[in-house]
Formats: sequence, C-alpha cells, structure tokens
Amino acid sequence: MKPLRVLDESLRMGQQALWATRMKTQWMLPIAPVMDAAGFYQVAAMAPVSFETAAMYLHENPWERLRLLRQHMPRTQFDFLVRSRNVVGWSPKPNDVVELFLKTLGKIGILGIKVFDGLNDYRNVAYHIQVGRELGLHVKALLNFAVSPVHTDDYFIAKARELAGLGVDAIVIADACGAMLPERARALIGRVRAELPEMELHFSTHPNSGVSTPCYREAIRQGIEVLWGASTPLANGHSFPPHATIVQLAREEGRALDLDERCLREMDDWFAWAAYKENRPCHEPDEFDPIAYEQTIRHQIPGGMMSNLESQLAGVGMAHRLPEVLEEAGRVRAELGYPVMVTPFSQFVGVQATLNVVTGERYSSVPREMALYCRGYYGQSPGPIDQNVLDRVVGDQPLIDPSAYFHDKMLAKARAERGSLSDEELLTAIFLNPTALETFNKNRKPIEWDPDARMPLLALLKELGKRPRLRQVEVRCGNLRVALSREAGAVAA
Amino acid sequence: MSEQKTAYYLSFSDVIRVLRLVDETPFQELQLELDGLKVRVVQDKEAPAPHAAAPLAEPSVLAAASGPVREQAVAAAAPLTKTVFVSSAEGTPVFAPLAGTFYRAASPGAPPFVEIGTVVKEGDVVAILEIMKLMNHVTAPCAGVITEIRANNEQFVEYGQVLAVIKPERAA
Repeated sequence: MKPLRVLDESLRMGQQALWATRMKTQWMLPIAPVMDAAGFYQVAAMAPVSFETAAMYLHENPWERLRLLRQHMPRTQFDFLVRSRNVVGWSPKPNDVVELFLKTLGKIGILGIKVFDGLNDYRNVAYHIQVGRELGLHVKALLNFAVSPVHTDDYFIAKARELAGLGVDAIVIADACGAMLPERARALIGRVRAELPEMELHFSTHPNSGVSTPCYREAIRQGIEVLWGASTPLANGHSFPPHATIVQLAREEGRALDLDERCLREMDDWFAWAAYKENRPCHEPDEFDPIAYEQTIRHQIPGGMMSNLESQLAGVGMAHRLPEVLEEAGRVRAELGYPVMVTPFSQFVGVQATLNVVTGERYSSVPREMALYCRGYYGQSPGPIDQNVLDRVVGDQPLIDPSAYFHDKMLAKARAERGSLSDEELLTAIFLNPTALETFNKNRKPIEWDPDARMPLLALLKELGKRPRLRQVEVRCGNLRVALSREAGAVAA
Repeated sequence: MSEQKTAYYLSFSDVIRVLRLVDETPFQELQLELDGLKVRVVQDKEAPAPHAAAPLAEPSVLAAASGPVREQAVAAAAPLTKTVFVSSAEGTPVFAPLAGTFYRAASPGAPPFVEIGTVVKEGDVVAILEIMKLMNHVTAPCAGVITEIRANNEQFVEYGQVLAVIKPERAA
C-alpha cells in the first residue's frame, strides 16, 4: 500500500474555523520554510472566504499573499478552493471568469484547485475541471457528504463515477458538517475505493462531533491516499483533526507516512504563539455526545453559522426560540430536497427557518435566492423539493436553466466598465461586492512581515519590555545575559 | 556547540508560560529557572493589580479555549426596547421582518423600487433587506400610496423598525 499523505489546511480551514479567517500573512511567512520542509502532499493556500476577508478586513491583496506563499515555499504544491459557480464571491460567474481565474492562479504558481458544489451537481463545475486540466493544474473535486434519505452509498458512487468521467485527478469525500460516523466512513470509503480502484481518494471530516479520529482510522484501513489535517493550535472544533493525530493513527495502523515530526512540532509551537499574540482560541478535542449528535444531524447547520443564527434571533428578542428554529431548519432542509449544508445552501435553510418561526407563517417571507433555488437556478437539488413549497414559493413562474449564463461575456463587460486593469485587479473587482471593493481600494497596503519573528528569546524580551509595571528585567539563556532597568545604574547591581 | 544550543532551545510555548507567570504573579519580584533559561523581573512597588496595569497582558489563550471567536457578539446584544406594532392614523407601516441591511433598489445604480408618491398594490416589492447575504423582498402589506420612506439605503435596520409608510387606498 502507498504511504499515507497529508494535506495541510492550517492556513485555510484552520484559520477560517478558529480565527474567523483573520490570520494576516505576517503569521504565515515566518513558518513557511518549516511547512515547506514538512513533507505535506499539498498546502491549502486559500478559499473564497479567505480571499474576501484578506481584502475587506485585513486590507491585504490576496494575490500578493499567494505570491509570497509561493516564493517562501518553493517545494510545496498549493491548492485553492473554488466554490462552484461563485468561484470567489457571492454572484454566479460565467465561463470566461472561471478561465481567467484559473490562468491567473497558474501564473502565480498555484497549480492545484479543489472544486465543490453543495448540490453535487457537477454540471456547475465541469468547465472548471476541463479548463483546469487543459492548463495543467492538479484538479480535485469534492463529493459532499451529508446524512439524509437521498444521500445513500449508491448515490455517492454514482456521483463519484460522474467525477471520474469528468477527468478529475482526485476525489475528496468531504464531510463539511462533521456528520459522518465511523461505520459509515468504513462502508462508504470502502465502496468508493472498490468502485474506483485507480482513483486517488481523499477524506476529510471535522472533529466537532467527536468522532473524527475513529473516522480517520477507518479511512486509513480502507486505503485512503490523502487525509486533511491542520497544525494543532489551528485544529479541532470546526477545523480539521491535528496532524499529530494522523501521524499517531498511521503508526497504530502500520501505514507508512512521510511527515517530518520535528517540522510539525515547530509549526505547533509557532501557531500557538500566533494564537497567544492575536488572542485567538485553541480547541481541545471534543468528545462524542450521542444526544448532541442526534440533535445536530436533523438540521446539519454548520457550527460557523450557528452563532449567526443566535445573534439574528437575539436581535429580535427571540433567543429562547433557537430550538424551535433548529427544528424548523430540519423541516426546511427536507422540503428543499436535502442540499448539503454548505455555502450558500446552509444560509438558505437557516434564514428561511428563522423567517418561518419569526413571522409565524411558513414561507410567507422568502429571500430572493431561495425562490431562485426552487426554480432550479443553482442546479438540481439532491432530492425533490416539496410540492407545497414549490406552489407557495414558485407558483406559476417558469423553471430556470442553471447553465443559461455560462456563456455570458462578463469579462468584456467588466473591462469596458473599469478600463485597463491587470487580470488580477479585474478579478478582484469582479469577486468583491461594491462595498468590499471600495473598502479594499481605500485601505489596501503592502503586506508587511518580520523575517526575524520566529525567535522566541527575542520575542520574550520584547514582550517583557512592553510591560510598564516591570522595573527591572533580567534574562539569561545559555551564555547570553540581558538586563534591563527603568532606572539608570540599576542594571550593574 | 550545536548540541549545547539544542539544550538551551527555548520554545514559544515556554515564552507563553513565562509571560503568563509574569502577568499573574501577585509578588513584587519573580525569579524562574527553566532548563537553560533564567528570568528575573521586579515590579513597581505601588503596582496596582497585575491585570489592570499590564496593557499587553492578554488573556491566556491556550487555557481559556472555549469556542470560536464570535465577532458578532456585540451585534447579538438584544435590544431591551420592544417595537410596538401600531397602524397610525396617517398610514400603514412597512416593518422590517428581521434585522438586516436595507436596500431601496435591486442593485447599485438601479432605480429604487418605490419613491414617495408611488402607488403600490398589496405584495409589491418596496425594498430589499439583506439578511446573512440573502436578499429578502419587503412587500407592501396593503395597496396605497407610499407617503414616507424611513430608512436610508444600505442602512442597518432592526427587527420591527418602520421602513416605509403607506397611505391605504381607501383613505386616499
């Protein structure tokens, strides 16, 4: 059996789940040489949300971050997560934008993509896969897992075959909500493995449900090629399992794994420091709670969205009705044909459930996107949409062909509107909403970072120096002695 | 020499431990030795309680890991005042069904759905309310004439806030 490989998600999902995607490039570059030497299969560089957040809140140019990562990790292959027809941002993009985006990534040296569609309607990403392959990129596609009556093993196998037919380099069995239990992991991965013996298979699940470790163990036993993980301070919770856990599992299961554990420890140490300095939480592993699992599985609302729902309800003075909203979310999810609860479908379900409860009349208030979903704009729902909901939401409006805009000329239009911009700047303008773009253009500044940041002794001295109530400080480390005092002459003593 | 250096290797985890001790000590003087590291600090005599005095004494991150950072926490503070739903003599209010961002037009640059004086039918779109990135139509509760628009474009509005007022047809 081939050695197990690990895809690093510290800089993508790790900071998205635990840092609200607010990690600046200055925390990535000092550890880059260590990550470059660790032996990862690939390093996840960015996703739509990190692109938007970098520009909007950190005022960093995302393209510049990608270039710097590329430069400081010359041996690493990177990937970029592409969200269906959104690509990056919220509006749907035609083929010309998809193509320019993939070309631009390639020029920077980001030579891998992973594409996903929450409905597993691969008509939405077939073009991404085709162009990616033509450009020589490494193309992975996600088989989005969910627990529902329609998401059977047979369903997933048919979907995996479809992906294989589209020519992807690897298939990722991706459990975005942490809904997978170990028995299902064994059965599903085993069956996909048997059906597609030549296909490179990845698996990822989230530790929030408390069973990611036994799920990863089953995946290893079923011959998975690649598992996704993160550095320990950026792992657990709604991130991915820690690399250290994967190393331990491989050891216990007798599977070879070429990761440099010294590099992993250095990464852990660095990101623990980053979390301390930025006042960000680190997560302990969760334990499996069968009652919580049973409740979560009914609606499968992602953890990242739960706090949004809570604050929406609190804003209406209805925080106490959260259980009712969650129960309603389970009903809405079923009525919508069980879309996988990832962006944007988790929002559709969550917001509709909230509106249904708050207004007191189901589907009396329906967001525009929800109506579009019901008319087929986002693609084929996994299961049928409830007829009563269709009657109420769609009425006699016609269905929409989801591929109608694929051949629109968005680039030519954007170029005509915005004048001569570089490809990168043009894509940024297309991806960001007008407010975000304005904020970014007004505040953007070059990325700054300190190449000497990874020196613990220096960091200790700097930190002690910042504490005004300390009158005297003396540090000895090896043959080095530093003494500082706020009173002249005191140091000599 | 390189072996000796390894023996004195100081990790960031050690630094975090030292800083936490320094920030939390109630004593005026602290001395600690850790493998090859010795640290001694002396604080001001009249130093107030350590936490109040140290601007950079961040809460202990590793120990207090208790869930994802919730940037929405501030917004989550529930308003104590409840909006009273009344239909005033002047007209019928159009309420915000949830908290969100108010838009008067379908897209930037597009003409507004309604202006003051626009005649609307029941169910006509009056505005859009963006809730968690979803565009929600706010519709007219009755037929009539728009007499007031009470929220500004792109303004964040609260649940139950009056967005516009319609003078009902019969009264018109």
